[in-house]
Amino acid sequence: MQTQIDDALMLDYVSGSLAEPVALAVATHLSLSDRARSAYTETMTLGGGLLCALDDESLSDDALDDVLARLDDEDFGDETAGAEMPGMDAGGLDDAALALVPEPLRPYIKGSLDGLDWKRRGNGVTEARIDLPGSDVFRVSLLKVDPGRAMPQHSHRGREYTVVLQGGYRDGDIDLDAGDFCEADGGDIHQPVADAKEGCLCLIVLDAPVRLTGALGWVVNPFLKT
Amino acid sequence: MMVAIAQERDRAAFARLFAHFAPKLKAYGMRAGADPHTAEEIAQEAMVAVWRKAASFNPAKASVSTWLFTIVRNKRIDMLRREGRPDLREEDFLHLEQPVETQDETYEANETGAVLADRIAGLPDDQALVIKKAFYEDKSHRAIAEELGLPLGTVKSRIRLALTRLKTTLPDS
Repeated sequence: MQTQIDDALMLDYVSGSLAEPVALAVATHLSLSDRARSAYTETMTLGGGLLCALDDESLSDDALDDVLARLDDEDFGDETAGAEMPGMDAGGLDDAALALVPEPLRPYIKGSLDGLDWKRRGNGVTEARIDLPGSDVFRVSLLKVDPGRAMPQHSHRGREYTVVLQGGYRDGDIDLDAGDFCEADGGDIHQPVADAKEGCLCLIVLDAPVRLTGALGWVVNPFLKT
Repeated sequence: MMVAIAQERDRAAFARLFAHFAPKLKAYGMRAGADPHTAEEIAQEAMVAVWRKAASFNPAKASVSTWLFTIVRNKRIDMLRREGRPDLREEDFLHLEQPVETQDETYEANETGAVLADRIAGLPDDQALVIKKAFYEDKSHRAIAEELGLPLGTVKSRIRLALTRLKTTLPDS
């Protein structure tokens, strides 16, 4: 398990090769963590340098004129362009959702958190699936765990990306708080326990169903049911 | 130059920026597998976005080349993929530890580009290959491992070594 975005994952994010569900987990963490953002900026800066290092590819003769003509259209429509700031729109989220849901995640949640399709998964765990392209391969959810409750012990066939949105949890000797990120890989057997006071709300992206390893796992298996 | 574009809507300055960067933006699109026509469209769209977003460019946060990279990468994702991507307004929140102080952004970008090109040329071949595939060909490290028939851990460590070495060329290190 690792609690930072490693170089390889950051490079995938920066180069734009991540599938949307994983990119969403990374973007959500980036919006909450200064440290991750500075690693991201460094890698982006490398991208800028690598762009400059490319040999020029010649453009057609009218490429610039064509763009200048488009700028006329841009300037003509300036009044509306100023009003439209992508991402600034709260997306109709209520105040409670705005307080808890970081910007990259907002377009995926419509209205309020309570309005999501929360399903009880037993043992103090509730889950709301988030639909987005790729969710046939990935499982993207918000997971709420009541204070002090433990998730069933499990391991993974694929990878699990977690971003804590509220509260926190302890997993073995790892403590995660709001804003933190965790990537667990196949073979990591773990059993997160939610913070005793606040419980835990997190974004979880799974790229294959989890496998339960605890004796009682079959009773409370939030992931193999749909 | 960016100030002239943002505040004075200076088209001559924009044309200079276009002359310098558009050929590189097209090259970037082609490296990702776009045909020349699509790659040129990506370059043009990116330059239109530069005009549109010039006011939000903050030289204290990022160099022009980094900002352009962010824009063209997003254009490339939008145009070459059907699926979406989380909108992070990345162009707005990029921030460096130290401001980039420069009078001539194009010169500065050239310098960094040239230094980086040298550094990449100086990397061991196996590291350079992985970095080029990731940045230029839009391949994930998993896809690269598969393509080269290498264990994931090997690709990860090559990326780590290469990035560590390349980052020493950045302005703030």
